[in-house]
Amino acid sequence: MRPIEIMLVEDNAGDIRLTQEALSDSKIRNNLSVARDGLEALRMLRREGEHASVARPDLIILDLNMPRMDGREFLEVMKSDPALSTIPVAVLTTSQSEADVLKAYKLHANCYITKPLSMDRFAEVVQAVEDFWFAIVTLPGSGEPQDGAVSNVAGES
Amino acid sequence: MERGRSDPATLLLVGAEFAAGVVTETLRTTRGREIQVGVCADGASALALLTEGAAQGRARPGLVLMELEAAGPDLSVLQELKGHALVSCLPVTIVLPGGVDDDVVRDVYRLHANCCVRESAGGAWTAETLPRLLDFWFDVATLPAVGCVGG
Repeated sequence: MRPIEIMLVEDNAGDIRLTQEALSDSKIRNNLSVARDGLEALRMLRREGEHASVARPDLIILDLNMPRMDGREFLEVMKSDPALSTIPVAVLTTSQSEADVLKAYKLHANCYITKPLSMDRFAEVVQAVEDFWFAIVTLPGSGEPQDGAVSNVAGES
Repeated sequence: MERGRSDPATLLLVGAEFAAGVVTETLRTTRGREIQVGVCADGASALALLTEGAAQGRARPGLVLMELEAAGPDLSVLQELKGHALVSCLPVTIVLPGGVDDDVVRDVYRLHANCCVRESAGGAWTAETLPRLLDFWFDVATLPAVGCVGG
């Protein structure tokens, strides 16, 4: 069975490291790719330029507040792209603003999670996200529309 | 506005099996958590309940758990729900029968269901899968405030 592919879209080096550590302790074999903002994430998803060999993620973990293209703009673009829209996106952010929660769900984030402040709790939350999406949920698999610009980038099923 | 965490756990179950009460009682008190559970026997009545309720400013559920059959033969109920300005923010989990085709799963995600879970035979479904599903949505995830519509 292939390892699961997770893409983290996050600009904070500390949170990237914490996520890497949490996932490295996981019982589920996983590969983590990291994009530092929404633009880089889109380029990776579309396998543009130096990202030609990036695997299609089974799950995207998305921060909201980032430079260049933030998580809201990323969601808007990605969830309206037929070739990408089925990839589940878990928003993981420090924002507790009701407006952010509402907007994220309206932009079709698959779930919204508030980042805990403590490191231990952060690891628990990352593991809970992974457990939910890979042990409870049925994922859409890698099949994508065959006529899309990135139809040939789907990972193995 | 900062979120309050005092919203009660509210769940709308949609589908004939839910209406038959197969798991409803179990879900009301899952793992000691009290959940306010509403039930609609079919997707059309759920859609009417949610959209009319939102238009009238009534509180809506935190989470919708909908059987695939109730989403409509062409998933039109799901499509309408997720395309409706007042209720598209509602997290919807689709319950898939065993053996459903992968293409259907992709269509469900393409129409912006928040996630799918596959129903399994036997006690593990009610004793383990459903409680873990609710644990995630009500304890880990942040849901839109129940009284929050529009935007």
